[in-house]
Amino acid sequence: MSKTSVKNKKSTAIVRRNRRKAYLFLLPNFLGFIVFTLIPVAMALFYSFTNYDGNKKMDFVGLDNFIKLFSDSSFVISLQNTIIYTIGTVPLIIILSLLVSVLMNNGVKGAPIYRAIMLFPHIASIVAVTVVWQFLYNAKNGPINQILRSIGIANPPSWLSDQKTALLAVMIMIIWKGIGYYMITYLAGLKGIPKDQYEAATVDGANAWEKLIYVTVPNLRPVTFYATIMCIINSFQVFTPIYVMTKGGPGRATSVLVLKIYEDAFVNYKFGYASAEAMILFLLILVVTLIQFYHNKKLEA
Amino acid sequence: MKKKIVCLLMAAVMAFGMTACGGKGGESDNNGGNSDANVANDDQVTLRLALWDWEVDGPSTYEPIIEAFEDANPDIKIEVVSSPNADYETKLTTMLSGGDDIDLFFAKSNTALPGVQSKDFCMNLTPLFEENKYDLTPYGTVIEQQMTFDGGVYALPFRTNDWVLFYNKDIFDDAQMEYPSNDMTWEQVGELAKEISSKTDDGIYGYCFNPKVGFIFPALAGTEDGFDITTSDLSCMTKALDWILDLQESGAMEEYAESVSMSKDQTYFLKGEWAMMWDGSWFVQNLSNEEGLGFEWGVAKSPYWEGTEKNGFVTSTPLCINADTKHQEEAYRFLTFICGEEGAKILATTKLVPGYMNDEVLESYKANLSLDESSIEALTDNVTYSFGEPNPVFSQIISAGQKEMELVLTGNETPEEFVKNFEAQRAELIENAE
Repeated sequence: MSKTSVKNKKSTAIVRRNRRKAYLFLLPNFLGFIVFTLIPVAMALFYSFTNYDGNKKMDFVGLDNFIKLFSDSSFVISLQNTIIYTIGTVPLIIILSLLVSVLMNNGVKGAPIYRAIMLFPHIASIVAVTVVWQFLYNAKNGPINQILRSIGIANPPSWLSDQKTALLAVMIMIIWKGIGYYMITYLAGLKGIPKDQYEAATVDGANAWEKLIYVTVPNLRPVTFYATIMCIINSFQVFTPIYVMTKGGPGRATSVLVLKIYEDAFVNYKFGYASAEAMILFLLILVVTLIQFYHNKKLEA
Repeated sequence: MKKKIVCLLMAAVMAFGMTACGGKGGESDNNGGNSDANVANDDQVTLRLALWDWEVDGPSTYEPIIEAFEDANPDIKIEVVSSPNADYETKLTTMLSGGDDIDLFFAKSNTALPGVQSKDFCMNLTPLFEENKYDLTPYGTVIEQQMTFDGGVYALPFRTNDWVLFYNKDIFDDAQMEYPSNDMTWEQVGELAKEISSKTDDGIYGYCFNPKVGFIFPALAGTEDGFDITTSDLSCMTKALDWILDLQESGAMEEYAESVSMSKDQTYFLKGEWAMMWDGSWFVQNLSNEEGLGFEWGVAKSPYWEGTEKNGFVTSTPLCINADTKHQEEAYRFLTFICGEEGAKILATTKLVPGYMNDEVLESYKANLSLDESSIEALTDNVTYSFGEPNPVFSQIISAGQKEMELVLTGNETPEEFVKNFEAQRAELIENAE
């Protein structure tokens, strides 16, 4: 009896000491998080209730910024564009990368070559890729429209200079660029599906399509969950391709939230207002992510 | 055992850190020693000057002036803080709001000045001018129009840029046509452009703007005398938009969308494919310095819209003193040197138009131009217009107008829709600012 209690005491002491060491090891990372993430986020929340201009002026304005946001047509347009962009790109990226990875996994001839080709857009620098696509989209002499004309379409869209097609043009490029990364994620997931499940399905007389729907897709649910969340967050935060390709133009046709935040903060010096916009973006991402977590839990249960 | 290894590792890391720090310390000591040796004077003040065009204009434009200043003021040293053109405004604001000890800074142009001024970044110079009895008359009207806010002067113009019509003489000669004159309306320029396009080979355009919204938009503001972008009725702008659309359609001007997708800018004039281009007088320097240009060129006074006075657009490059500078007296000395008579005399030799103008400077500028009589006349004695009274939403209104104009140029919107939408956005911006 006494022997075990002594042993217990000793082990709790060791645990405590180990825990202290663990905290010590976490400290550098945690310090970085506090200084470069937590404090700025808290400051942004604080600024969103002020009219901070980046220098001296900083009065508390309550909810003024948030009220102004919804009568600011540029913000509403940017919000709409961001949502359209996300709804348009995320499902396609996820579905296409799943299909591509299944094809790769089923031993298509030359799969490694295709895999490299599909992955390449992801590795290439987004700025370089965007500049190339800008050229591809050139309305008069761009290769895309030349092909369209050669197959008999007399008046192909003018892509980036037409406000009806500009956002679509950016979305097409992003889908092309996004597939590679999620394909790799899916390929890793596919390796983890037990072979016997397919064998059992074959015995039951399932065809390839049924195997995909009833065996592959359910088994990949954790991967899909991860991929969808990452993809949605990336979509809400899109900036670089838009900034390089169109600067939000023509007019405001491709303006998105992060571009609007950037312009208000660093071009118009309305840091308070831009922080309020950033808070809306944060809430939007938070809500969508929470819904997904909730949905995933329900499926797992 | 493990503990010992950890201890050893820690000791190694610390030792490394100490030696690294030690090395650094020694180095900086050496540097200190060197700089002390260079200047005998211990009280030397270093002024930090922020600008964006050092890569292009540093050696030719700024260096001679800075050298002359340092020779005349051995107690002051100028340190240039250069940022790339496109990022300059963002970097400048970040530095200033971050409390960086910049002493003087250039605003990108007079349209950017109201933005920095309303942030209290610029020092009110009026008390200094009064104290030193500094004469502001050689700067002309630009001080009052562009640098004065609530009765205080917040900057001096380093350069002024009259917008003029550049033309390629060779293209006009080939088409056997007369050069543009110093008194032309935009309507006449349009006709001329169409005529050239019909008489020359494909691939040559009669007229082009530097195809960036910021370089086209000023033409819209000249459509009415006394135009003010914050208060005027905007329907006068349709005149200019119709003119542009007509030229694009006739093929005398390259389509805007096409130029933009090829990332074209003023340097395309240098390729000899554009017969005429409207641009700021700084372009004289680019053209003169271009080797192997392959054609002759001339300058004509800015065109004006029929029914308006003969005004041309003007921008300027303001230099400000940081309101928080610790070296006010020295900064003031530099400001009145580079933007004053001494600086202007040197600047005039580089084919740029100084903000400070008197007979001597003007003669020096003309003498250095090596241009024909009519071109020199085009560059001097201009009457000018701008976007109107500066105010805190000024640059936001201009930017909204530029975006809306882009929709017209790319065929997404008619000029009438432009007026309606731009007026709505302007009202929204003014209301949200209050």
